[in-house]
Amino acid sequence: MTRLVRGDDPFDRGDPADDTRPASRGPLSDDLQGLADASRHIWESLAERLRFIGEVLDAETDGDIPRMQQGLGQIDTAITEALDLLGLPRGPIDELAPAWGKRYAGRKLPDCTLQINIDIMRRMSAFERGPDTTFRTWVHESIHGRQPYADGHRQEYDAWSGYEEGLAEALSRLVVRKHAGLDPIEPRDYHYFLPAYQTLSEAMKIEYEALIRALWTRPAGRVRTGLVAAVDDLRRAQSLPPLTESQRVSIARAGDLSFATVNLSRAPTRTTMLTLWRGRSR
Amino acid sequence: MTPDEYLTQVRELVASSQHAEALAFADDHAAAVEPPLSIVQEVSLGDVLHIAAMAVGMDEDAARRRSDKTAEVA
Repeated sequence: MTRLVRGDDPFDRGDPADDTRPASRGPLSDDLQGLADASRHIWESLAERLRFIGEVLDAETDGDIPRMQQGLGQIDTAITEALDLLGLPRGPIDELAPAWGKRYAGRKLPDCTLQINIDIMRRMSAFERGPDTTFRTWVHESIHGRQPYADGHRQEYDAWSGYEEGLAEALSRLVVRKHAGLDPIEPRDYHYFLPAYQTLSEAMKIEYEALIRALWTRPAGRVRTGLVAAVDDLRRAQSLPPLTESQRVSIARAGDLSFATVNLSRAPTRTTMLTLWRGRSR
Repeated sequence: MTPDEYLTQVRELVASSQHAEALAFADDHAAAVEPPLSIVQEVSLGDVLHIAAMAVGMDEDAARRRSDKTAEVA
């Protein structure tokens, strides 16, 4: 049986047997050709990614924390070099800290610690697409770490985590899938927020990548308040009519509906989303 | 508890901003899930718990800042 290989379409919610299908990887993009050799090998070769991850896991098994930290640092260098080349540099990170036990694969804390879960990394290493999934997580967390969190970031995140999580995941897929050609597992939990950005860009006649890159310039906790201005700026840059005040208010309201945390459990419907956004531009 | 029931419960807790409860529920009930989660479901759970953990981390950070400010005033 031939399986469809998933692409960039966020409306594709994946195959239930996704964990068993063969990986489909592509070459590095031109933008990543400037990677230093060590980093290039990690991004280019699954075997090399597995080797570095294996070194981290072996060191952890041996209880050799300094060696484990060194291995994490080598992978982190490959991640940050790629982000630099793609114009998405990570901000200040005080500590790259291993974590154990909890089920989330990684997180970036407000105190500028970036945690990578060694237990999850170990579990993932048993699957063909597992190392790519670990890289997806690592890039995702690094996108969260583009700048220190804004004061009051919790207010946005609590009710509308989709602004930040959708942005981090959209950009991590851009890096990991489009530019590095990796094939990570992409479960459904960000799948409402990515199409929300995609349909917004389509309805407003602006480029999806330009929109998410514009929002990347905002720190975590300020994406929501920057959405309308980003859309308006991109429209003006294309000589499209600027948004009226009524349109700006309307788009902001639709954004809050679309990026609400409660949508975590909802399935995206392209027609509904497009209708919602197009109605805001009238 | 089936994997779907387990994941749905965790998602609903996160969606209703009960972040610490979501983390606790995920840990407390993991052993009772039958059959075990597939790798896709594991990754999915990880993404939801990431959101919960981020929010809890933000709470801790806010509490620490409040505590620091109190100490400064004192």
